[in-house]
Amino acid sequence: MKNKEINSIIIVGAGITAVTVASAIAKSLPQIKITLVGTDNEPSEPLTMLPQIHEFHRQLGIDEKVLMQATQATFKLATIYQDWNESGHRYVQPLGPHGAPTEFVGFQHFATKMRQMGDGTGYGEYALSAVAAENNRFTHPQNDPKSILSTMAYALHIDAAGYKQFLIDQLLAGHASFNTEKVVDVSLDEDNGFIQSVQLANGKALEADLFIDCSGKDASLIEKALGVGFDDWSCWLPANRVLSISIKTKGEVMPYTQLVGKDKGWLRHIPLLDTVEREFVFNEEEVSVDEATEIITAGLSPTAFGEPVLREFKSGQRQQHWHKNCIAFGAAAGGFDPLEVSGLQWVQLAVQRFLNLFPDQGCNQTLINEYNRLTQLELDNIRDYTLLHYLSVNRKDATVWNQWRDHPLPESLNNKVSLFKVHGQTAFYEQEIFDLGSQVSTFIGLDMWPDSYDPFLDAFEMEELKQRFNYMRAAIRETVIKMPGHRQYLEKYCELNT
Amino acid sequence: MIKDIVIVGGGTAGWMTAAALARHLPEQCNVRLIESDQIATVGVGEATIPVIRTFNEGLGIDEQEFMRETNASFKLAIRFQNWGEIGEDYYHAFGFYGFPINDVSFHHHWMNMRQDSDTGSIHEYNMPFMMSAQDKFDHQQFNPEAIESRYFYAFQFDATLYAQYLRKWSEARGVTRIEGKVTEVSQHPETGFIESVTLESGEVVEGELFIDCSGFRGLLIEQTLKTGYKDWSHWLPVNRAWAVSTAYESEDTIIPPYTRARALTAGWQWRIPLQNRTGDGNVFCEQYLSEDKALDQLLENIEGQPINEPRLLRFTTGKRNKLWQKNCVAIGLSAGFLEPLESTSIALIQGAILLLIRNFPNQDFDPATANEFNRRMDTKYEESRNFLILHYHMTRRNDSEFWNYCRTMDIPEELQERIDIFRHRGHTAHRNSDLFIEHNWLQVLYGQGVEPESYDPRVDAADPEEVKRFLAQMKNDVAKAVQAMPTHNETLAQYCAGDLISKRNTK
Repeated sequence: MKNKEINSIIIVGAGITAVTVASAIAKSLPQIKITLVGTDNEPSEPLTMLPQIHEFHRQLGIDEKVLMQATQATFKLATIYQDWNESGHRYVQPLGPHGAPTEFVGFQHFATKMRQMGDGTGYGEYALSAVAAENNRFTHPQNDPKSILSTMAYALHIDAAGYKQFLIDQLLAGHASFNTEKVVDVSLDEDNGFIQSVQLANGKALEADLFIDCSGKDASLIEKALGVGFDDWSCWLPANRVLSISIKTKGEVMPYTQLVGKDKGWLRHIPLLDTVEREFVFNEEEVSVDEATEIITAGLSPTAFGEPVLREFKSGQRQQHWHKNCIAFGAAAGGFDPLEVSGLQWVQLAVQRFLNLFPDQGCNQTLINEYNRLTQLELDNIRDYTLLHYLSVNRKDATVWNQWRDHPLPESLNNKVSLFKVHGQTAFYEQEIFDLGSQVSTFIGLDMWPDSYDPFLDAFEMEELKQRFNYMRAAIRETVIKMPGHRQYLEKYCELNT
Repeated sequence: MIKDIVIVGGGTAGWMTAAALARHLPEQCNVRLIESDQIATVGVGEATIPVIRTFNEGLGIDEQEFMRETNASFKLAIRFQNWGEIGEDYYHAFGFYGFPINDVSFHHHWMNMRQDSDTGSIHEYNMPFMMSAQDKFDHQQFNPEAIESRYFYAFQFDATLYAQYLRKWSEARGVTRIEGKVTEVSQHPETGFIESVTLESGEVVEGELFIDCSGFRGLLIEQTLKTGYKDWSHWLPVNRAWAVSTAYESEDTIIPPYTRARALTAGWQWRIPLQNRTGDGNVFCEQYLSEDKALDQLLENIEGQPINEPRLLRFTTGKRNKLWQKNCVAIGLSAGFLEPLESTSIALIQGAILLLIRNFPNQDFDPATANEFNRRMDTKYEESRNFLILHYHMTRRNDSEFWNYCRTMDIPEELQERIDIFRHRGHTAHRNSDLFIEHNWLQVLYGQGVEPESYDPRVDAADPEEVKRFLAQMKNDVAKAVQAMPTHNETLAQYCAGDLISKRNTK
């Protein structure tokens, strides 16, 4: 029996999550009537994205240059971790690869062997994206695999408010309508439990075939109306607040996100064109907002920054992201520390997956099961990767750093850690967001070096390898020296009037 | 590091493993392979799937030389006859249906346009399908941009000759072959690790890592280490195979670029065309057809004269509980046996070798390494198994008890979900499998007569006139390219003739 296709969708929420979801659907399925209901209750947020954003933009027909011109966006080549494991520890997590694999042997094995032989060269010196980031340089990658520039990978730093407006202007104007009334109640079908309509504060009811919950932590449809529970991960990841300020800057722009470990949490710096967004991530039971404000404004002149903004989040995920004719995205569906993956990056991935499994009015259970299976696997992987960043940290007291010690690690993470420790191999699961190279680079950056390396390495002559590595580093340095500065590149690329 | 590696058993698995280790291990390692001329190898896996080329390329094998020496032909497809219903016929061909349009797979657009009489069959958009149907083959490299080279190929070869070829290759690179039969295995009294094997001659061969390529019996992994076997015969009930080699009827016989799998009353019959002969066999379930009757059925259905005595193989479909146990890794039939329908045997051997190389152990044999190897291999076996079950279960045949059983049996939940999603919406719910991807599942699902109720609604966003033009162009490009191609016989003669039945076409 064939059901009717979906003709109308109501999205509850009007923030960046709702607009992103609406834009992707409007682009792929222009025949559907989309209504966004409610007001934007998502506090503004600087976004630090992953290279997967390029695919999302390609599918939506978004021109990178036009977007960057409109949003003060900057390029991102890496995340730099400062004072992470302890004071003085530092590493670069580039978005592009390290070195080059030889035959079957991954580059990390060569680095491990060199290190065991007493060589102290930083792992980051073998990644073009890392070296360019540290030198504040940028240029677009090239496709030609023979060019060293093919090993560059980048993403963007974007201001969520600007990004949201851009999506509304480019993709939603004429394709979606906004209703700013608040949702006060939800009616369910008595027979099958599907959502029939949402009741608005002005007394009107809006009906649709499919309902999307982008209401953030309220989870007003998926949880309040349909009663779907939430698996809480705070036993491992207790951070739940972000305080952020916007600091005016001039001059050079970092082409990277910076994370700085502090006693009771960590700071994040995200560069936009004329500001740096500084955030402090912490647990509210441990740090008061006043204390967080002191930490985040330390050393700044009172006129240099704007009003602090507080965001809440909760690590964990919805037991079903999609239930009946309701699907949740963003904080209504799950959350995690904003370390390498921003919440919106995950929304973009999730909505692409949803479009690949788009239902008809019957919301066939097989589609729902497949979507939930894939999404849960993806979030489990994000959880493991996030948690990995805390495992070698040597900071006393604060629960943000140490609470995981009181609970057994997820089995999948345990497997990954023990496998890497043996001789630098990585276990790869279904629905990973980070490729093997990124995972390896995190292990090594965190000083979780393997005990030994791939035995096949002994087939290589060490002196010859050393020369090859010297050559590799020199080629990277020479390439970076020729690159323009990040700001200079931005000014030219975005045709900024300066 | 581990220096002494002992492979027990020659044959395809043993020599593929030996060759790969010789290629990648440092010189100071000592790879020895024990085999006995008295033990015949099974050598049934004559048909492969395209990943075999990655293996050969990894070794640096010259394709023309290898094809000449193993009497290999090209393989573009498996042709399935009488599977969905008696009289039905389809190819599972190694290539895509058309191009995606607006990021939506081609078949959804085709479903949308199929009422239009110009649209034609979906197979007309599949290059290797059309090549197979006309017995053509041209040796091109895969190019995702051009529809006329969006296909992969594999080989059909003489597995015994392939093992010999790899033996010569491996011995030239330092692998030591020891002739003899293993009569005893010694284990460490506490850990149970294998320390040495003793041969009939009394020679003791010690090693640090043992690779069990001893075939069905699993000399080390099962007889010594008692690892246990997961029996999957409730899903894949065939348990016997008669195999025979057959001469071509004449010099002019067409050598098809595909393997044929014709469903019979209690299983199916293969026909694998090599350059100089075919390999034929009847795979059946003994509960539904006696061994004698199955042999008669085989001989009735072959096309030329048999050139050797038919051999009977007995097996139980399934896999070893763990492929890697202590310091022993099972590769090949000792690890498990699904059945030859989709030519997965050699691909699974290759997968195991690659994973072993990627996770090569240290002397302390940390369990994390074996766990990861076993986890990944379990997935490969289970995904291959599910793909195979699909062929048996999605049938409408009700002409024998065997087919009635297969049609009505319970199947693994994962497979049921994939079938249901396809039926509902035409998605193949592709998982992280490296053996069979979307186009493989599509061809078999369509081929077995599964029809989706609806297609991806995103196709409605495309301009129908533009889609129509695009489809016409694709169909035309495929037809023209196939038309211009040489026949498979001609390409074999020109490129890699070994004992080819007819070399007349050599230019």
